[in-house]
Order: sequence, then C-alpha cells, then structure tokens
Amino acid sequence: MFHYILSGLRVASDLAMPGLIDADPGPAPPDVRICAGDVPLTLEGATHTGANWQMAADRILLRVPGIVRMLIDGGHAITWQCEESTTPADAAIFVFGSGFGLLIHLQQRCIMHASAIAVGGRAVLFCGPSGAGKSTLAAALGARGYGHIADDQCVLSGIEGGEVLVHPDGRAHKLWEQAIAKLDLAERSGPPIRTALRKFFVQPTSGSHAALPLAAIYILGEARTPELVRGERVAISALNLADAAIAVRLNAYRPAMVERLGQAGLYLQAAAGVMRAGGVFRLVRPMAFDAMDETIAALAAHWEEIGLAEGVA
Amino acid sequence: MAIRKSGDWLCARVGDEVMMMSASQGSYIGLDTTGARIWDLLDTLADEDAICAQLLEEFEVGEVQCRTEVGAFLDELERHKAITRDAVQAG
Amino acid sequence: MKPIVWLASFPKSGNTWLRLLLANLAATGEPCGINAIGTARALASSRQWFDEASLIASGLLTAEESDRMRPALYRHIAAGAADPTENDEAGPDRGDDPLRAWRLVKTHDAWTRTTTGEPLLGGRAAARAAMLIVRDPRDVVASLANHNNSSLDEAAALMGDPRSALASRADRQPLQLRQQLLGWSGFHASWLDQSDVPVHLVRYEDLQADAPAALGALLTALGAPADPARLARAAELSAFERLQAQEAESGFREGPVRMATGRFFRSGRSGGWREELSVELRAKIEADHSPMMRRFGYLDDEA
Repeated sequence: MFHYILSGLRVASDLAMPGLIDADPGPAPPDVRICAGDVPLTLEGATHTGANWQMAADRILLRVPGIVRMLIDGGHAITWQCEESTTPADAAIFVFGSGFGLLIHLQQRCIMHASAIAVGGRAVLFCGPSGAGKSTLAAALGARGYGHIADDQCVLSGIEGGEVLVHPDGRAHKLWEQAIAKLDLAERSGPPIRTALRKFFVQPTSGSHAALPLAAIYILGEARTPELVRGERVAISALNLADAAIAVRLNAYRPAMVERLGQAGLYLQAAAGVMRAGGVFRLVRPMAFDAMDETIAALAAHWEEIGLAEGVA
Repeated sequence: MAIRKSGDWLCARVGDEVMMMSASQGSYIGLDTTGARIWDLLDTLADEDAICAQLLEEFEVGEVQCRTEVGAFLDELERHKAITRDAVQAG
Repeated sequence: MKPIVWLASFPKSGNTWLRLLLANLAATGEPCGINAIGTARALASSRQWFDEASLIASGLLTAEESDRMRPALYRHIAAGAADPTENDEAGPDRGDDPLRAWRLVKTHDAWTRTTTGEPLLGGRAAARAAMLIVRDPRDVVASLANHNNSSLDEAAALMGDPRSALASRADRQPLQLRQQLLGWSGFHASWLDQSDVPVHLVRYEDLQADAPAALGALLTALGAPADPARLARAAELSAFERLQAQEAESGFREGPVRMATGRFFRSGRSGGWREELSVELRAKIEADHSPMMRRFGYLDDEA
C-alpha cells in the first residue's frame, strides 16, 4: 500500500501516484481507501446521470471509456478497474484527479478548481476553467521562489467562521512541454503524467506540505480584443460580495456538483470565509508567455497593496 | 405597511456586511453595513417608521436622508423578492 | 428532448454571422450583441463544456480519447436528460424564438468517425439536422490568413491539407478540443456525403445577396415558421455595418488576440478575392478544390 496526505486527508492506496505528499501509515485507519476491484457498469437507483457517469445518494460511478472506471463511495473509498489494455500507471491520474475531487464533493467539503502558491506564509489561489493558465502561472511564480501548494484542487477548511485553511494537493506542478520550455524548467521536469501525453510532473523549488491560511483568490481571465482595445493589458479588480459569492461557486472543482449535492449554502459560507480572509479578485492578463513578467509584477504590487508580506513562504 | 421577509434567502456574514443567496431566485445580493443592519432589524420590526427610528439612534444620519435611503433599500429588497409589503396598517 | 441542429462550417465562412442572424430572429428591440451569442454550450468543441458534462478533465486525454467520448456526450444533451443545472442557453427573453425547439450548436469539426467507429458528433440520435455554411474558398483564404495572422500561401496550404485540424498541438492544452478540418474540400465532402444527418446548405454568397430569403429557406427546412417581417428585421439588425461598429466599440470575444488588421468581421463582401488574390494563388485554390467548387457553383461563371 502507498500512503499519502492529499487535500488534508490520509489516503491508503494500492495505486501509486507520483507527485503526491508521502505519509507514514500510522496506527489510525486512513480517511480514504483506494483499491482495485470489480466496478459495475451501472449504478442501481441512480438519481443523476451523465453520458459516462451515474450518481446515487452518496455514490458516483465514473467511467473514462477504454481507460478506467471507478466507484466513489460515501466519501471514504474509491474502487477502480482499468479498461481494455490501459495500465494502472496510466489510469492513476483520473482516480486521483476527477475521482478524488468528486470524493471531496461527496464529503460535503469545499473544493476549488485552483492552483495555489504561498505568499508570506499564506495561500493565494488562482481559479479558472481548464486551459485558463492556473498551473502555468503558479509554476512561473514558483520559479521566482513562491512556495508550491496546489496544482489543480484546493480544499478549503475552517469556512464556518474560523481561519480558512488551504490544503496542498501534492508536491509537484503538472506542466505541458511548451510551458516547461518557456519557463525554462526542463531541469526540474520528471516523468509524463500519462505515457501518451506531453504533460509532465515538475518539481517545485519549494513547497508547503501543511495547510496554510487563505489570503486571496484570483479568478483568471484573458485580456482579449475588448480589453486590448481599451489599452488594458494586466488589470486586477476586487469583486463585490455578490460577485465574489458567484465566482466562488462557479469555480468549485465541478460546479454542477454544487447544485446536484445541495451545496449552494456551503459555497456561500466558503465565499464569506474567503471575503473575511482577504477577498476575491479578477486578474485579466494576456495569455502569452511574454506577458508573464508583467503579470507577476502586477500581482506583487497588489500583494503589497493588500498587506500581504512580500517574499517567500 | 407590514414588511415581512420572504423567499429562501441564505445569509453569510462578512464583518458588518452580509452576503445573501436565494436558490429559487438563482440570485445573489451583497448588503453593506447599513443594509445588513436593516436586514437584522426586519426580524423584529415590520414597519418602515420603526426601522428608521432605530437607525436614527444608531447611525449619525439626518431623518430625511435616512427615510429616503431606507425606502430605496426596501424597494430593492422587494424587487429581489426578499421581502413583501402588505397594504395592511400595522398597529 | 431538445435535439441539436449543427451550424457547421469551415472556419471563416460566415458561421458567426449566421448565428447572429438566427439570434436576432427573436430579438424584440435592441439587436443581439456579438458577445452575447456564444456561450460555451453552443460550441461543439468547448473544452469547458466537455469537462463539466463528463466530470473528466479533457486535458488528460489524447485527442483520440476525448473524441471517443464526444458522441455519447452530444447524444446525452440532445436527449435532454433532466439536469437542473443546465439553463436554457436561449435565456428567458426568447419565448418568441421560432427556433426554440432546437439547440443550435456551432462546429468546425468535419464529419468524422471515432476510433470505435461512431460518428464523432453522435449521429442521428444527437442531431435533427445540420446547416452547412459554405463560402467561396477564394474569399475564405484571405479571411483565414487575416484571422491566423499568416500569409495567404500558408492559409491556402492549410485549406489544401487533408490532415488539417484546429487546436491540435500536443505540447500544450489548446482552449478548445481538437477539430479535424480535412482541408476545405475534405470538410465539405465529409458533411455532404454522410447519410446520418440531413444537411441544409447555406451559401454565404446567397446570405449576402438576400439574407431574408436564405434565412427563410433555412427555417422552412427545419419546419419552423418563417414570418417575412421577422426575417427582414433579423437581417437588418445583423447587417455588417452594425457588427463592425459593435466590434470597434467593444471588441469581439471570439476573435483571436492578434490579427493583421485587428478585426474579426473583416469584410462582409463576396467576391473580394478578385482584388486581393494573385493569379498564382487563385490558380492553386482552383486546382486544389475545383470539383467541390463546381458542386457549389463557384466555378460555373468563371469560364
């Protein structure tokens, strides 16, 4: 068995996943068990269905056709089974990515689709849909000495009124070949995430293995023709209460699950916690590598402005 | 007019301010310090005059301005279906 | 059940203009803005839509693997399985829309089959019909070069390449899913020669010459009411002058970030190629595509 700390949970898994934070097994039973086993093709009593998934009460059956299918059970176990000739190593990212993210949703905890870095000992999150540049921006900041916290999933705890904490999702960036070349990270690059993908694990310079208090959330947007026409290249603006609440909900790991699992109130609480901790901002910048320095300079100036200590965690 | 809260609004506090959501309306509202206070007062006071009287005690504000702003705020809440106002005379 | 109607076209053939015309069929006063028509759900290659619908990150799949999942996803949305989170993309103000019974979805995908032999776009179970918008390739080439910030020769080479595709780079995560184009001739052949979904052809040039008539023919093909006053108003609201004025004011969100002349709606005219194309380039395009051009009547009057 492999033992990891993932999003604040102790995980025991028969499936190895590179790039996670290793943990000692310890005497207590794990929070989550990940085991190979027979996974059915249909789920009895499904109340919600997609083309490749079914949900019944607190269970989700998720299928990646030809690769792997998994049963996510009650927020504490994932059973997985490879399809066709896919190897476990090639299927692991789906179990630990989508599978684990849905498990957190089933646990009724708040999970954001975000990367995160440490600024002055606190966590700064970057949200946006796939392809918005979350990982790349976090890696570019990592190369400048900011500690790595998360690449894709950020679990928030303490939203009920205490200090909001952000839990790490691993100890590696996951970057495409182009980003590795443009950010000059080839020396830190490890194995591919899947054999057929030109996306690789990249070792950060430094990182946090413990949860850090939340400082701010940035929603990533691209400066496109409308903004460029107005001459704005990099712009950071604070969201008001209502817009922040909407942004937090829409940037949940799988936003549609918030509705399906009746979590609108939970994400409203989370948004209030985020606003108490520092705020939600919209960061609009050109999505080009040659604009990265400009983007990071604008962020650094903003961190000074909102009272986040300059420097490395 | 008797003012009553209505709908399925959930609230979350951010300091002196309040974030509100209605699942059935599919809408979100943010209330500033004064708005949040009025929203609290609506739990015990159902009358615009009483709310204004209370606010005049708590905030440094002139009566005319207070009445105007409370009226506009209640209109806004009504537009979002967060309150109803009955034409029945209270008291 | 709300079946899809594909709005299929090779890039730069007037797809956006047609979508705007269709959106304006339901407009009551103000014209429908160019930034209001393109929601993620209305684009077949939207990565965000794929990820949300499948609960899987498409960025972890190869193009072949995500293609394998796409047919079932389209069939699922067409079947309209109850999903409280899916808002009607038409919005609440469009009760009067003659097209409200269908989901209009834009695609630049050629009609291809997946590695498991299914039609990529889900076949007949996903779509009721397809509107194929076609434009003279001698006009497309200049528009495409402008859009891609490339030379005319590069644009012509892409149009002649049967392996051409959009969003196909494997060293990064393109914003959209990979779309196989198969070249200009291959694209149109793939749609016209399949028998799964009935195709209604809309020539850009006919839309240009008489938009209300072309729009009316399209509605009739779908069995939707084609009220002449409504057609005329939609055409008027969508006229090119308005589009360019809107774009100069607010910019168009679907346009690429850098463009040679800075405009997505570059030229609304047909036959502009006569002024812009060299004799050699014109000859190359006609040599590459003459059978398909004849099929659409683009070569008949040139002899």
